[in-house]
Amino acid sequence: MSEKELLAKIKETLIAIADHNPGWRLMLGQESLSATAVIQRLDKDKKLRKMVLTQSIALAIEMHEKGRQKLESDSGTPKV
Amino acid sequence: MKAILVRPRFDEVTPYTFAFAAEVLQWCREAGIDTIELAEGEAIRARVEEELAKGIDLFIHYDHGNETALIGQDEKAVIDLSNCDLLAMKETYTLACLSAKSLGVEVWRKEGKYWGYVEVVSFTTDALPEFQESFNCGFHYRFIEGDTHQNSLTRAKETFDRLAFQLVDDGKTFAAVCMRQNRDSLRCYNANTPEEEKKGCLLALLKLPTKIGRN
Repeated sequence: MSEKELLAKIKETLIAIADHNPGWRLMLGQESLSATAVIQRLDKDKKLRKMVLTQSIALAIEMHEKGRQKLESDSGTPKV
Repeated sequence: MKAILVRPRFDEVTPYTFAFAAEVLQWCREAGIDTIELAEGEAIRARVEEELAKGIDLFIHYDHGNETALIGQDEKAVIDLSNCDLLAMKETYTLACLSAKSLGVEVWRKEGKYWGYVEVVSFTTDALPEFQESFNCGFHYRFIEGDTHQNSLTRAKETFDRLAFQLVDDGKTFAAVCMRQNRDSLRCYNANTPEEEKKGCLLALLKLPTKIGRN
């Protein structure tokens, strides 16, 4: 998945939030942003975009690792 | 133990951090920590300096910050590089953006111990109990349970991880992203020195490809 595709996926989740939970806010330092405002910020705020992409990837890797470890412990496969 | 808890409330963000700090205040009272609360109009530099000068062991601040300052009710610094001598040889626990970057290092150089964040802190309103737990857990580990700085930091980071995974499971992925960012940005000097923290970041980067390679 490219960075662009990942960003599009993240925006999809924010669109869903904007639709289903209009009171949702991101508190970012001193700012209070709606889901729609976050989507707009992601286009122009490089630092925020980098943070969101980096942490999304890191979370995915960690969840994959956690899942792999669980599978190994459930199946009794020795760790390599 | 004597403590000061500073918690302004003046914009859209601070009512949340004000509420997060209420739990810490309650824990202090239950644990018999003699706590002076400087809330809202009292959360200003003159009052903070006055109370710190009387001699306390622990300084708690829940609100905005920047690299060199912790901010009060009047949106001016209650603590900055010019009066951080007052935190020398004391414990400081903060929920504030960026303050561990320079202010925390300066306090540590003055033999203070500093708990804070090196990046902008973020949270989302769909996961307030989880964010409250993450922001407050370190305080509980260190000052209520009496664990060491190193253990408290390790346990706090584990708590952030657990909460981030839980938020993903709950379908709150953006909250999980913020939780993980806050986790990475959390610092505790003296658990680690500022230099060790920088080395730690480099080691974490080197570690990542190893993990990927194993899969």
